Amino acid sequence: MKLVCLSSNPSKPCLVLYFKGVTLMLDCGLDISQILNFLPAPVVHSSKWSKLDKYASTDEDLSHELKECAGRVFIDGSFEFACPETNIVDLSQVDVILLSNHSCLLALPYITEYSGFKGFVYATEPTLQMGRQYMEELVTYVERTPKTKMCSKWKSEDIQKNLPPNLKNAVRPSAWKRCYTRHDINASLARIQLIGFNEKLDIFGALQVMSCSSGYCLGSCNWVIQSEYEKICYVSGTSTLTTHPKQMEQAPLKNSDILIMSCLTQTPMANPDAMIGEFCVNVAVTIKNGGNVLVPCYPSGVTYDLFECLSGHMDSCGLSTVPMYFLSPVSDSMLAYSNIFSEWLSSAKQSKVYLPEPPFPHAELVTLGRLKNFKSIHDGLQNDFKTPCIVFTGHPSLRMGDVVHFMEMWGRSAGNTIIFTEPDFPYLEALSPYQPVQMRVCHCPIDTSLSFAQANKLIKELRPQNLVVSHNHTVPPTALPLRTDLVVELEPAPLTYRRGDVLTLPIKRKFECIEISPELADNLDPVEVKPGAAVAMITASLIIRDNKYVLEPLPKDYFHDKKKRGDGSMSRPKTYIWGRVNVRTFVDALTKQGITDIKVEETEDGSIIDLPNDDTLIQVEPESTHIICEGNEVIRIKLRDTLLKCLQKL
Amino acid sequence: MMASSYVKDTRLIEQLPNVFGTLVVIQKPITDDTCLNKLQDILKTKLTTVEIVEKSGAGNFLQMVASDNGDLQDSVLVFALAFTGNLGSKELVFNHYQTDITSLCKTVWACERMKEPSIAAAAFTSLSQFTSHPTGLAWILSEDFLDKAWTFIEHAKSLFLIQKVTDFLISLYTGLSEHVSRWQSSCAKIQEAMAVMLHKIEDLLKNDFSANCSMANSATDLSSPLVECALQLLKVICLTDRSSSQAVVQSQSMTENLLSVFYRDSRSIFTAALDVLDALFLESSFTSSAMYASVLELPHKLLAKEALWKSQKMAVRLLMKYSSGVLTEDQIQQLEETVLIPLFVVLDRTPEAVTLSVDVWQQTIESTSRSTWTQMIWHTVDCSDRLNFKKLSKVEMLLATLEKSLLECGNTKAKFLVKNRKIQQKILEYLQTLSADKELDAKIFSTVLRLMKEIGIDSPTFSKCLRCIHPRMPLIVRMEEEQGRQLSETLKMKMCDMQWEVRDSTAEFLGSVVEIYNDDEIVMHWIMHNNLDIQVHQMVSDKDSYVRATAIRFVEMTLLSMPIWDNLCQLLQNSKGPVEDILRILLRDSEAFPRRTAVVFMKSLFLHKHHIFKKIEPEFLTTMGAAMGDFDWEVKIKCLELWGMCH
Repeated sequence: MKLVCLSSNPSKPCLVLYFKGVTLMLDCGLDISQILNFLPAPVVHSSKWSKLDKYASTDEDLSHELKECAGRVFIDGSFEFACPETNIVDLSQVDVILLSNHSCLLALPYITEYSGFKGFVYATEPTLQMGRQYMEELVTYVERTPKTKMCSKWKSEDIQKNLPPNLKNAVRPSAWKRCYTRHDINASLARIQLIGFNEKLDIFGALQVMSCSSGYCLGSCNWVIQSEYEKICYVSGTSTLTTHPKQMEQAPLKNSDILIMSCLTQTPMANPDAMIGEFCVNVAVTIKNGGNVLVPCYPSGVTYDLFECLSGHMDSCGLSTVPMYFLSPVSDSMLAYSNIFSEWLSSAKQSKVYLPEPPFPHAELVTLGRLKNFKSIHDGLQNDFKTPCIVFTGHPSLRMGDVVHFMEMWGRSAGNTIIFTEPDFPYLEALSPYQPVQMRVCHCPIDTSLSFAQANKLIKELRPQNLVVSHNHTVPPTALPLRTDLVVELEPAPLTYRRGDVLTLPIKRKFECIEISPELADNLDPVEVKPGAAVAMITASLIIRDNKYVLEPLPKDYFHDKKKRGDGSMSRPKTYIWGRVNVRTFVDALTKQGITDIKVEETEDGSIIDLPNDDTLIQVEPESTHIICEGNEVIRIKLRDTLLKCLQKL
Repeated sequence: MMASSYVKDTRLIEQLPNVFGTLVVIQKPITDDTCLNKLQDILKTKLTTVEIVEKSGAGNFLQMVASDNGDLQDSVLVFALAFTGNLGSKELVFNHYQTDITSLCKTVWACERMKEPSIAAAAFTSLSQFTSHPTGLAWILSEDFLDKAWTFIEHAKSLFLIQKVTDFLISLYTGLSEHVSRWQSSCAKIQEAMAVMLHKIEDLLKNDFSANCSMANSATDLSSPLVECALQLLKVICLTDRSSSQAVVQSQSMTENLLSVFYRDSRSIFTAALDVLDALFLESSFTSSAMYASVLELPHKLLAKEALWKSQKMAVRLLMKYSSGVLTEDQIQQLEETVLIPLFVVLDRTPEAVTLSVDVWQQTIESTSRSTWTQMIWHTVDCSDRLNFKKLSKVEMLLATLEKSLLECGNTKAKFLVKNRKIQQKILEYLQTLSADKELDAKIFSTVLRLMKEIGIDSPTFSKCLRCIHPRMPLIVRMEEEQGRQLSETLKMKMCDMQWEVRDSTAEFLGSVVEIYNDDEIVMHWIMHNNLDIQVHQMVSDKDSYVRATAIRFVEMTLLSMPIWDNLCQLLQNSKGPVEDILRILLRDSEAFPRRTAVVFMKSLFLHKHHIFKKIEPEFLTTMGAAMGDFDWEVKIKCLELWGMCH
């Protein structure tokens, strides 16, 4: 059994598991953090970006590709993304892809549309629908401000090693790819088959796969992959906090042979509850001072919780009339989906549906006009835009989307505030091309994934035989080297994976389940060899079809030629003797055979029977019986027959 | 009134014989004796003269009790003994009824009923009252009650009884000391009695009563009341009799026995022993005695035994008594370091004079529980509250401790300290009490401001931070502009806090600043310059009713400061200022609390800004008319008061 890691970001996992002849891909996360190396793509033309200094280089092509901005070097070209590693595994041989949540499927089109993939993809409905929205938003942002220039010169090894650190340290940029298209999205997602929580799926008869709620986001799940005798659990984005998704189920994950973990918190020092509080306070302070608030965010997930908490706090502070704007190409559908997927919500929110009330308050906020959503700034926002206000918009990297425009518009005023809540992108790097920024910057990362303490507690409760985690999670964070408590701990130490690693998992399959046909079962004659265990001899035909093993009777004419030996004599049916030699019984039997002067000597391991008259020594040990006979054939036959009488036969 | 009082007293006295007669014959046990206690209180105030006592039939009562106490209910006998004590506390009455009183006492003392703790306690209480005059004292001495008291102590099984006996001995000794000069002829007997006392005390201190004693079973008995009794007596002896005090100081055996008491586990014994030391400190020969040298070593020795609490207490006592003149510089330093040892440990500093046990304390950082450490720091702050440190800066060390509690955990061994709100609050309470000092106040402000900025700070800690800052406001606003700006930014954040208590505390703080410092132009300017006034005003539409009320009170305070009021009017672009907003609250707010505060504001407005009333007359009349129908009676009363003012 092997596990291959194709992703370098433990929060955007992509793993391949080889198990019982089946190749499973666990998640298709796309790490787009390297997009921070690119210049922002402005929605509205801005001379700022076109007038940047070229990177000082003798190579003119390189100078065209790289620009200097605010003391750093950025790539001035079309966005490229670092896909999962594709050279280690033949992706066309992947049988099944299991998707845990909508933030771990952005690389799916690269896998399904460009690699010859022919298998199946399974996900829950919210994962599919919301994942689609995420993909479409990404593609819309990229296509909205297209750049035709593909920058490749800087990627050559000789050049890259001389570039500033942010580009020099880029991992395998030659493998970066451009963003996929809408056609790719549609084709890729069309392959997805929907499953529900706790629904069991049969994979080619060899494995059974089941999803169970992970509590991270709408429709997010963990996976249980089982054979008859082995159980592997894959824990992806998981949360034990009480937020809007359905609560995590732990019971199905218990007592596995292997537990694979990914997607632990990216902000171990930031408590999500405290961060939401700080977020609300910073917004209120800014608004009271007459400033605007910009929140770069994804179109769902924590954003729903922010709408809910912030609107309540604004009411508390007497700021109910301050408008909130939600800008995203998929804002309409995201707001709608949140209220449709009620069966995937927590029980508290589900019960609202029966009242009936919308489970999320943002529905009412939209009705009252406190929350207004637009596809983009060109979608009618200018007719309805009042300040001071709060704007939620993408993309959290600050490289694309309407957030670029707002940064340019508001970044020069100290009265405005930008609040970073998404942990995927280091906020200082995100801000770097906009420096110097006058607006106030707040960092309130809200990551509801498992913290290290929660993960260690969960592992203790799940009691797996073996644990597999990312290497990053077994050492303290780089920024906090002394925090030895911020690691995943287990005795024995867990197996770790990094991008490109091929792990051999410590499971040796010992048993397989075989069915016997009723006809064959009727003919069995089991013999009890010990209490509760019986053995029967069987000669049958083993049929293996669709990974199912069945024993059926041999064809009738099979024995016709098989009963005779090669010389024409009839072959006897084979018998098997078993059991332990009882020395006393054996000695008595030998005596009855007329053998005299039998000496028995007890040793540490067993007994030695000496027949001095017959020049024979018999060593009886628990696991073996040795007969050393220098005597004639007669005595040998007697010994054989006597011994056989003392043993059992099948 | 006096006549009716006299009539009542007369009728009371007339009824008393019946009452006494009934008491004597009661067969059934009295389940609730509070009526008897009430009667006792009445008799104490009414039976003040011999004539009145005669009329009350008290003498007959005492005789009946004396003759027939075997059948009396316990509560009645206790009542009788207490009554005897009250009567006997007045010398004239005692002299007149000495026979009856002493007869009753002797009878009770002689009978088996003295084994009952409540009766014995009552008996000793009555004896205590006889010690207030010479006749009583003489009688007590003549009847050997002193020996009987010691016997009771040694065999007592009741803590309550032991305390009563101790009280008796203390009152006896005090009485004897006061009347020594009058009793010149009997001085020897009194001196002998006092010497016996001292000897008995020493026996108790060294636990030399193992065979008979039923209370103190071992030298480390956690609650040895006999030792406490001995210490209480010793304290009184040392305070009242100089020669005894000298004898104690000079006695080697007494020194050893007294010092050994300090090592006992019981804190109450330790405290009682400290009180004895306080009494000995008054003795002029104490500082030249061997006892003094041994006492000076005690803090260090106790520290070695990890008895931190005791070590600190002892060190504080010595410093308070002797730090000016008697102790050397090194001794002062050692004692001060002993007092502040927990702070040395949490700050990873090495004391200079206390040489041992620091490593031991370092090791205890990880093994000792958070709550125990919290108590140690609390105690350190408390016990040295009134101490004037000469060598060390307690304030500086507490500030450093407060700073350290702000660290993100992981970078300090003292993990218990990080975000420990109890410790933070204790230190803040202490800092609040400090008087103004420019340099210190700047450091205090800087640290407290950092604490205020913490995410998720709880409301009580935040309130204490504000109380710390409040008296330093004039200094803060005169510091560099950056400091004032940081404070204002923090306050603005807190005005938008998730917790309503924090928002309320912030508004209350600013209201108090305006109230107290309204004549300080720079403070007022700071408030206006940072728009704090308008931001607090905006809180009148807060969701929480308490916050709205506090915001209204702030606005009320601005009436005392013309610049702020004018500024508000200007910012609101309304010459009436915030009056209309507040009238609206009076008329429409769903909670009574803000409505009451709104009426109070209107009253202040009437007093301070009368001219505005003319401008708002129509709205005022309408609102007040409606307010008279308010559901809340306090609102209505305040409205009536306002109407009264208007007329």
